[in-house]
Amino acid sequence: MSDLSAGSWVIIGSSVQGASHKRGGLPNQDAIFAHPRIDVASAMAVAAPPLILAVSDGHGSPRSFRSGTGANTAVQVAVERTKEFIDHFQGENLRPDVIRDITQNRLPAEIVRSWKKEVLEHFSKNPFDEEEMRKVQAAVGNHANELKEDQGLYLAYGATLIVVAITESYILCLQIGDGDILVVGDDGESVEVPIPPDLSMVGNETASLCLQSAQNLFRSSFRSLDDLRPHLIAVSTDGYFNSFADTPSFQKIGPDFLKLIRTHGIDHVRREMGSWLDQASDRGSGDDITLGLMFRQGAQAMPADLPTIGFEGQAPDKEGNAP
Amino acid sequence: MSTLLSPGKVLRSGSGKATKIIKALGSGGQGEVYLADWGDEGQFAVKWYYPQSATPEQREALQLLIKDSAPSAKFLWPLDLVEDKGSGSFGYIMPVREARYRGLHEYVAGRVSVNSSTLINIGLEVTKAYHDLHVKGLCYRDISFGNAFFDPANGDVLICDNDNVAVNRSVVSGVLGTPDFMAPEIVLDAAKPSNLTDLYSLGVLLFYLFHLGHPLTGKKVLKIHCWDIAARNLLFGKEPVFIFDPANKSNAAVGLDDDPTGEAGGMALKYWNLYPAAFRNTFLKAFTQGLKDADRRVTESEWLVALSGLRNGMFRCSCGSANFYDAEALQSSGAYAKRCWKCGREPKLPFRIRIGTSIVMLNADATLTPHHIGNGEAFDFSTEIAQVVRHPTDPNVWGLKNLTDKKWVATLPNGSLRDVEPGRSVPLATETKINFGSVEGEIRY
Repeated sequence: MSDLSAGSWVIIGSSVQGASHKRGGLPNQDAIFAHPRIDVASAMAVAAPPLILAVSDGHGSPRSFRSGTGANTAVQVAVERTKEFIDHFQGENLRPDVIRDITQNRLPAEIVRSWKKEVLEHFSKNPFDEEEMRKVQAAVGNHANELKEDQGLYLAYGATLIVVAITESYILCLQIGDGDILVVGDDGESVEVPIPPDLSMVGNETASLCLQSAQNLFRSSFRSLDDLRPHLIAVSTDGYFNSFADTPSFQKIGPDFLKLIRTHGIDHVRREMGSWLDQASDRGSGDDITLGLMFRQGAQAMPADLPTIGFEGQAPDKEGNAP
Repeated sequence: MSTLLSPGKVLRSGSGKATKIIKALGSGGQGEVYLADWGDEGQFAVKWYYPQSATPEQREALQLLIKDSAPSAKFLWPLDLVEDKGSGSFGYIMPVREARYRGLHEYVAGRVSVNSSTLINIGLEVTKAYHDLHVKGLCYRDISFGNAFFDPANGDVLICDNDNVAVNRSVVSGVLGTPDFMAPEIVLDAAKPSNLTDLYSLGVLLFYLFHLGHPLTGKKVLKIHCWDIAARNLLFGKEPVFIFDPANKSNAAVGLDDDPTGEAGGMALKYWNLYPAAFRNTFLKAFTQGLKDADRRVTESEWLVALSGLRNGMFRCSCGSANFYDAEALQSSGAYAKRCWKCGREPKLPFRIRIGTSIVMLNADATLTPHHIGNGEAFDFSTEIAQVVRHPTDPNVWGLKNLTDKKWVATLPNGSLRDVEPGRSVPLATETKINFGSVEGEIRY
C-alpha cells in the first residue's frame, strides 16, 4: 500500500450537451459514471480507494444513432467489470506484474463482452425501426446497409471509453478511442499523459467499442501510485481537447483545476464545472463535453469548506447530495 | 516517464568507451531504453535496468551473451555492458531498432495491416530466428508479441529484449515468459524454461499471427467472469484444450454470434478453414500431442515446412482474394472442392509446378527461389531465380523465365527437349518438365 493512498479522494464530474448539439436538437451522447457513484449532473463522491471513473463519447454520426445508449452502457459496464477485477485482486494478494497483465490483457475483453451483450439485449427489445433506417439511408446512402451486416448492429451504438481506477497501490488507465487523461503530479504543476494519443488513427477516425475485436484496440497504462504520484487526474472526452488551440493550452487545465480547487474549494468547482464546460463547447468544439476529476486530499492544507458528501457505498443524488 | 538517466549522463562501458545518453526511447517491465552515443561507434540503444532488476544474475547472464555473438542479424544483441560507477545499477548497449519495424502486437490489434505473403514471411523469419538461437544451445524464455518486430513492407523480422536469453535449461533468474505464451509446464511451475518451452511459445505466436486469437481461449473462457490465477492456471496449465481439438470439444471455438468479442475463438474460426489441411494439421499436432508432451512439440523445421507449403500454395481467385491451395480439396475429376472464402465461387486454379514433394502455384506474380530449385538451400526465399511472365505479344500465354545464369533444360509435352537460356522463358503447359540443374519440376494444370 502506498503512503499516497492514505486519506480520501474526491471525484467530481460533469457532462454537458454540445453547443452544436443544442442547435441541431441532438441529445448529449457522452456519459460518465464512477464508483463511488456520481451521476451525470455535476456531482461528487468522497472515498478511500478503490475509485473508478469512466467517461464515454458516443460517436453521434448518422449510423451511430444510438450512441448515447452505447456510451451510457459503456461507462456502467466498465465500472462494474473493473470493480469486480479489483475486488478480486485484493483477495488474492497478487504480484503487480500479474495484476498488470490481467487488467491490461483480460479486462478489456470482459468490458467489450459485457457491452456487446447489453447492446444486443437493447437491440433485441428495440430493433431498428423504419424511421431510424430512413434517416440513416438519407444521410449515408448504401452505407446504411452495414448496420444489417453480421455484427453490424453494434455500429449504431458506437462509443469510445476511458476508465481510470485508483487502488491503494496502483493506477490503471484503459482507453479505446479518443479522449484524454491528464495526471497532475504532487508538485501541482507537472502534467503527465499516461496514455499517449493514438497515432495509428487518422483524421476523424477513432477506435470504438463497436469494432470487431475491440478489446485489442484498448491502450493502457498501469503505474504504481508511488511512481505516478498524482494529485489530480482529469479524464475527458475529446470535445474538451478540441475546444483548445493546442495541446499545451489543453494540458494546462490540469494545474488550473487544481489551483481552482485549492483557492475556491472543491464544492465551488463542482457547482461551476457545468457552466465552464458549456462555455468551452460554445466557444470551442461545439461538441458534447464530459469531464471527470479525481482529486487526492493529501497532506497539504485544504480549504475548510470541503464538504463530505457521498461516502463510499452511499450514492449521492443527482445534485450530489448525500442520502 | 523516464527517471533513471538524464540526457548528457555519461556511463562507462565494459570496453572502456564513454557512453553518453541522448534521450529516453521508452520503458518496459525491467528497465528503460535510451538513445546514446557509444564512443566513436555512433548511436546505439542503452537498456538501463530498474534497481530491482539489476541483479548479479542478470549481470552474469549479460556478460555471457556479450561474449557470444548474435545467432543471426535478426537479433538486437547485447554488445557491451554499461555502468554508472557507484550507483550499483547497470545496463547494456545494443543496436537501435529502426523506425520501419512495428510490433507484432500492432498487427494482432489490427493497427498495422499486412498482405498474406508478408504475413507468411513474418512467420518464416520469426521461426528461422528462433531456430538459429536454439542451435546455439540457447533458449529465449519469453517468446511473445512484445519482443518480436517486423517491417510491414516485406516481413523482415527483428528480435529484441535478448537479455533474457539463457543457456538451455539454465537456472531461472526472473523471466518465466509472458503468461499467455507460457508452456503448461511453466504455468504449473513444473519445469524450467528451455528450447522445448520456447517451441510451445512459438506455436502460440504463430497461431496468433494466422488466426488473430489464442489457441486455448475457446468456450471455457466464457465461464470465467473474473480472470485470476486459478482461472489462468486451469486454462493454460492444468486443463489446456485446443479450440480445434477434434477429440475434445470442451473448449471448442465459439462463433461471433455467441461471443462478439471473438476472444472465445470467434476470430480463429474465421481463419481456420482458409488454410490447407497440412497447415492446420501442424497446429493440431502442436496443441494436442505437443500441449502436455514437450518432446512431441512441433519443431522449427516442421513449422518451416508448413509455412513454406502455405507460401507455395498461395493463389488469387478471379475476385482478387488470396486463397491457399489445399491438395486435399482437389478431386480426381479435377474439380476443386474448396470455394473462395471471399466470393464463394469455385476458384480457377492457376498452373502449378511439382518439385519433389512441393507444389507451387504459378500465379501471375509467382517466383521460384533457392528454396524451390536451389542446391539444398531449404527455406531460402531471399532471391528470385525464376519468375512467371506473360508472353510479350500473346497475353494469353504465360511462361516461366530463367533468372539464373545457368541454362535449364525443358522437356515439352510432345517429348522434345529445349534449352532455356538465362533470361529466356519456357511456356507454361501441362506435362512440361523442367530440369533446373539440381532438381526437376513438372508443370500441371
